Amino acid sequence: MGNKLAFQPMDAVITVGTNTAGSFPVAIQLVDGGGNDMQVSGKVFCYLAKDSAGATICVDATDTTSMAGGTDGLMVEAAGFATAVSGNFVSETDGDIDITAIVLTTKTAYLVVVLPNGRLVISSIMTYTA
Amino acid sequence: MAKLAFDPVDATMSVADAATATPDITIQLVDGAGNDMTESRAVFAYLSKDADGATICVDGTDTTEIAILTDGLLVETAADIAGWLVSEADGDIGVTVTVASTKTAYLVLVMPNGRLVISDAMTGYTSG
Repeated sequence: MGNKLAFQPMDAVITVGTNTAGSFPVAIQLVDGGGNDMQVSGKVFCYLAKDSAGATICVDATDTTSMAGGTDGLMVEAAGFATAVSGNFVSETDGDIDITAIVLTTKTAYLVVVLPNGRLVISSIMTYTA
Repeated sequence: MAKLAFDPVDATMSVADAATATPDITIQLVDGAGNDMTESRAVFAYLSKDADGATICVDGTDTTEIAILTDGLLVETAADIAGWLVSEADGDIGVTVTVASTKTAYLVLVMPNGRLVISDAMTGYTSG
């Protein structure tokens, strides 16, 4: 393999699906330095933010109540700490990660993906009113 | 496309009130071209007992708190000891650390390329 940087996750495409009673499916596609979908598993840190700049983390049970892995990928988290608002996620070999975030009524949240180079990629808004 | 020249590869840290129980640390993330960052970035950080970053502090023994003082966001992954620091859009982060009496601590930033940037000592505090 030549330029290994070309095969690191350098970007992400985040798609927020339609919520069901505040439960939002979020699909992440990790993209490598060459602009292509990842072809190996990659790891990113993620958290839920109250604002579109990722500057304020959500409060568990006040803004959101859950952040968990979905169909694709794996959530790797130290047991018992901040599991509801942040965590490390490992993609499948095609760079896919699915996350389900539960947003409380009248609240707003954004999923923030922290890439290995420290760059933040932030989802579109997730807002829900019962 | 993000370019390496614009990734955070260095940081300057200024420790204020280093000999008190609650020193403050001002952090400026710097990109690969040597300029202050111009967008928010995240770096992993932890408190260390030594200047090499080789031994992590014990919460409740060496230190009892790390929190945002002014700029940025801390997403803790180990309570009061470690977590992700997210800068403001100008690369600034401001934190405060609570150091236990007679103990010494250093703030260690893990840059995305794995390099450690370590603060000056926060030491000299003796209660009473």
